[in-house]
Amino acid sequence: MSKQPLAPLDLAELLRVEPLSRASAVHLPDPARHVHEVVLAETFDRLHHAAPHSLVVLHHEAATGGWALAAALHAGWERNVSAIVVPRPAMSSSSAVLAERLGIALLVIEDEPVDVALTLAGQVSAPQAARALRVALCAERLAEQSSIRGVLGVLNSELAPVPVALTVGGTVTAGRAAGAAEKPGGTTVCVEINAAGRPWAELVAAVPAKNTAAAGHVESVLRLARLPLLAAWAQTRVHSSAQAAREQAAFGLLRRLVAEPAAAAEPADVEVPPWTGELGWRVEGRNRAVWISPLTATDGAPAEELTQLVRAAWQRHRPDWPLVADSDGWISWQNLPDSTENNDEAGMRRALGAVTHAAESHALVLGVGDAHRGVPGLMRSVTEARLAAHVARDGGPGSVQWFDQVGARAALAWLPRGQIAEVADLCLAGLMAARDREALVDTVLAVLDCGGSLSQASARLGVHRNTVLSRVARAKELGLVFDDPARRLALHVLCYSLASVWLPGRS
Amino acid sequence: MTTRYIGAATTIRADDVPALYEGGKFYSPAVAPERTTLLSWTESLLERNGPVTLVRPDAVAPETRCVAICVIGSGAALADLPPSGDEFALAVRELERLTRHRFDAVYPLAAATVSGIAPLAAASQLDVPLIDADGMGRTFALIHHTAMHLGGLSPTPLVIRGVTGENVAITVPGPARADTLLRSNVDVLGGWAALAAYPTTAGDLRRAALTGTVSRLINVGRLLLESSDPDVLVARLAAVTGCRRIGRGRIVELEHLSRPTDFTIPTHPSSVVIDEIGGQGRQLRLELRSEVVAVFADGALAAAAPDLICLVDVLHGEVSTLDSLEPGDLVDVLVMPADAVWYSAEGLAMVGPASHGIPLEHPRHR
Amino acid sequence: MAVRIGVSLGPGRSRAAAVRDRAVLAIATGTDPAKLLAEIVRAGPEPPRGIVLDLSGLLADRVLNRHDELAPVVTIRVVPRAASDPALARHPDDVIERLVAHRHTVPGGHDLFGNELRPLDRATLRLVCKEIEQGPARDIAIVAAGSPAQPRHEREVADALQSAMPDARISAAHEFGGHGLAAREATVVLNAALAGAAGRILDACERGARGIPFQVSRGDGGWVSPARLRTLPVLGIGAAGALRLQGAAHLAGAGDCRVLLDSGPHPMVGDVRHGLAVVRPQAVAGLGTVLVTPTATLTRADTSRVGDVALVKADDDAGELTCVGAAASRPTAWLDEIAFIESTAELERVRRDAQARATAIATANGATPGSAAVVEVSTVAVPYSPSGTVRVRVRVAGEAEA
Repeated sequence: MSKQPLAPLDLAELLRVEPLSRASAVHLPDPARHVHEVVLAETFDRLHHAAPHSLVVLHHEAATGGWALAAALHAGWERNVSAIVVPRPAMSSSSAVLAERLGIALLVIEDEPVDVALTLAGQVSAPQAARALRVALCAERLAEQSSIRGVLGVLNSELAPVPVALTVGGTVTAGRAAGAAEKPGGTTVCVEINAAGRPWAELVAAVPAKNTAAAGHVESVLRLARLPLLAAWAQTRVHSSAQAAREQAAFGLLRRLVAEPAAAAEPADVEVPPWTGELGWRVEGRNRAVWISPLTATDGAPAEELTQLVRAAWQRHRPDWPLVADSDGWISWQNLPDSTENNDEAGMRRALGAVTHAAESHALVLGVGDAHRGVPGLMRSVTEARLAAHVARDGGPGSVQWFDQVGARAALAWLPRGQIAEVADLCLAGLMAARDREALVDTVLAVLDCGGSLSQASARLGVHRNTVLSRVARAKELGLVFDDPARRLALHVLCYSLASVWLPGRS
Repeated sequence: MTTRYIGAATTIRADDVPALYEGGKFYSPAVAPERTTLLSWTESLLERNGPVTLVRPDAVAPETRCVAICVIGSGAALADLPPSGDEFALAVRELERLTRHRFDAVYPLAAATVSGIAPLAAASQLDVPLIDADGMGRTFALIHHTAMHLGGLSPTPLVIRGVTGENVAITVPGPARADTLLRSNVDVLGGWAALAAYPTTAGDLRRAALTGTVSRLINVGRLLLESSDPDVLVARLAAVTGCRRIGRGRIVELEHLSRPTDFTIPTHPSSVVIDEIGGQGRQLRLELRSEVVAVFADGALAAAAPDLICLVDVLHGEVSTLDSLEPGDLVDVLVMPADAVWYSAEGLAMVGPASHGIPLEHPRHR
Repeated sequence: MAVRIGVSLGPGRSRAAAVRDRAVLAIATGTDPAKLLAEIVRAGPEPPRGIVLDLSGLLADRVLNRHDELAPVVTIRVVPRAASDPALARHPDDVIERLVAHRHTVPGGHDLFGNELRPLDRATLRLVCKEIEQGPARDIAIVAAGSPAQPRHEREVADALQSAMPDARISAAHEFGGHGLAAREATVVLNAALAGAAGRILDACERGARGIPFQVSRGDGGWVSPARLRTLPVLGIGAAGALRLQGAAHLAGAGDCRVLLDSGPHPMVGDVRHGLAVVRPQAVAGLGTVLVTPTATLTRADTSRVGDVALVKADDDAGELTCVGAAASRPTAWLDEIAFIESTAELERVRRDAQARATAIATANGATPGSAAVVEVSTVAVPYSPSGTVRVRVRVAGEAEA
């Protein structure tokens, strides 16, 4: 076993454990000042022989009052001691001024000075024991914390002046940002925290150059914090799912307000309920909704973890916009004042641009509705956004679709294209067996889209008119006869469905 | 006014009394002796009875019988309860009755404050010379804090007489008890009393007393009366008395009971904190008993009893008394060496910083 | 801000100033106080919020130059024994002694802490009463040793005299507090001597003011109501010095400063703290005797170069500064007492009590209840006194009742 270097205790460490944890620091110019020994000074003679870096506890004759403390401070300054500890009755305000003037640490105790000095002497002569005691005390305090912020607060007060930060994916999410900053000559202590087997976050502490000896101690304290942090994180998750449920219910209520407009002549006159404000929602004025949904449709609500991720991504970029889980996706909206005609599309684009990366990596698509007034307007915009999002699925992960660029085509997005494509297997068995079936379906779809015009279809497909003609003839042979008006719509839909189902495979 | 230097043997006239008073104030800066009553009474006595002869102890026959005169107790009490006029003379007469000796001369127990003037009044009333010597060269708190005591002379038998017309005579085998007995009797007499003590001879005084201390009061008093400019004053006093300025600053705090109280000494401990202006901007801390007993500069002992430490009010160019200090006052802190006898080992043990509960080495010994 | 008027009445010419904030709106001079008052009130743009009169010049003139017109004073000392020496029987200052027609000593008195030194000699008191009754003088000054701590003997003497002579005007030293028998006697003799004259001056002022209420300046630079000054006229002595300092500081807009008064033949300096002149009980300028009522500390200007506070140079006319100072002045109180403490907690209590009493006095002097605040407080150990003896001084200033 390698022997640890016996780093002397510093004042900050001593101030965290009994008996000095009960002392009040009247002046503390340098908490990192080392303490090499403890002197119980009963007389001024003893004080005048104190070694540098000693901590002097005044007692008896040396602690009799104003002048005695002034003289002790001066002697301490001459001897370059680390701190002077004085019983409360000998303290005076002018001594505080003098301590500051001389730059001497001055601590005031209520306890019996002899007892204090004896305990301190034990601590200073066995720094590892004092540190172990301190670590144990720290563990108790950490265990009492129920929030991430609380845990980081304990760490920062315990390890001061060393700053500690909690980072998630390299971003500081709690604690002092200085903890994550590199310091010249200093050491950085990192402790990784795993949640459910995956790295979730890191605790980072920046140990200044002059007390790198304390790095080992810093690391052991950071390790202690892992379990309390995970517990706090789990707690946060419970809280956030409760919050999500509340928001979901609230949004449901809003929706019902619009669906049952009791006496309102105009749907836009639905009064905004005051509780929307409590949730941090703004609904007055005009609203433009964003619908976020997974690329592939799922049955029911998306996984809770996914909701967490979307919420985190959204809050980082648009903390003032709400985020509500709804059926198979999430709703957010941009609130615009009624007074302006400006729809602030730029603002929306910036928001979307910021989350595109996250959307891509989590396989999400986004749809954007138009801006409409009031609660009914919001509901309308939500519907539009949802339609647009369905259309956006055609564009792959991270795609964004604006409703005003979708129009009626949105209807198609709702077709059960997969099932329709399955129908083709039954009623167009010949076509489906053909090797060139995709080219044939594309061609027929283009001709139908172009209202039967072969030349327009050839231009859209980029092939010669004769090619179009021959493919149409071959398709008809295989059963794709679209001349009969009674069958034309059905065949058009069939072709559209097949084309969109095949599309991803071809790209 | 012209400066007339007082030599070895001379007379004190009525118009010397103001200078004697000012000098007395300087050598005991603690108290503002009730100025008008005692001063005008003594002036009036000298005008009526003629000048008083001032002689050095070696200028009279060694067997000349001498008695020390002092105002014992508080100046504040004296101010509110002025003498009726016969206290000092009758105290001496009573001591003569007890010792069965006539006294041929009087001398101050402490040539400072009102105790520098009272022996002059007594000498005028008794029609005897005043000896130019005293036992302290300033004031100390206890009656045996004298050069005579160090020289083996006893303070008793002694007599005190109060304004109430009452006498108390004390005779003790051990001098340290004399003050204890005296103190409680003085309180009963109204807070101050006329004291006649240390009956001795001029020969013993030559050996055991501090000589020239009365004429010194008049010489210093004249300087003080002439100049109200504190800088000029300090320069002149430096030449005459060896005094120097520790610093100039503003009083920021008055602390009471700032040290444990030892009830055998009058007046509880208190402290004055001064922020130095200019210089190094030090924190000056004055420890007070009845006098300023120590000065710390940033916690370092800069001066201590038996040094004479006084405060000069810079605005008025006059000595500030300790019972008139107020936060905000701008003062010079002056220190002046006491007589050499007080820096001997026995002297320091009796009246040095340790006697006031400050067990630090005297700065003049470092 | 409202217009305030300060008036300095002199034996010769009088001056008046109307002041708003730091601006002097109008100045008037004249010999007839009534006309002067009417003129300055007219000169202001609106009716004044308050008028403060400085009578110190008039009062000093009575004491110094017209003392034979003042009522002769009978002075009674209550001390354990009568003085055995004539120089100790009289007051050391002629300016006081010449006001005294007769002196009596009644054996009695207390020490500084109120312990009785000798029971009051009632037989002597009866004889003294009879003797005074047979004489013409009815202005009586009483001073007893220790009366600030225990006024019982002073009160008993005063009661005996008053019941024997219902028309007597009696001044007792404990009403003024302070230290030192000589200073307390000087204060109470002056008060007795001025009682009649001050009443006549105030009568004339009230006629001249024609119903406009006014206040009268005190030696410490504050003011009291005219009713209070009728019984305690000595409070008005020596006010001009403090008013000049405060006037100069007010015009300069400085709360803490040293003022150099540069108008006369001898430039003088004095300090102003918190807008109030630094005062202490001392020999009153021009009078040459020490009173217990505090007055401004003015010294020759050759020390003005030292110091660390702002220096305000005022070469305005001295009378004008006095008027400005009076106009800007506030009701005040001053307390100077001896107390006995055994612990720091007790010291706090003593200090609090003194502050409460000073505040009550300031309110009685005309301060708006609740407005009086402690401006300065100091406690010092009394040298060569029993351990625990402290001298407490408190200065309180309030705002005028609207």
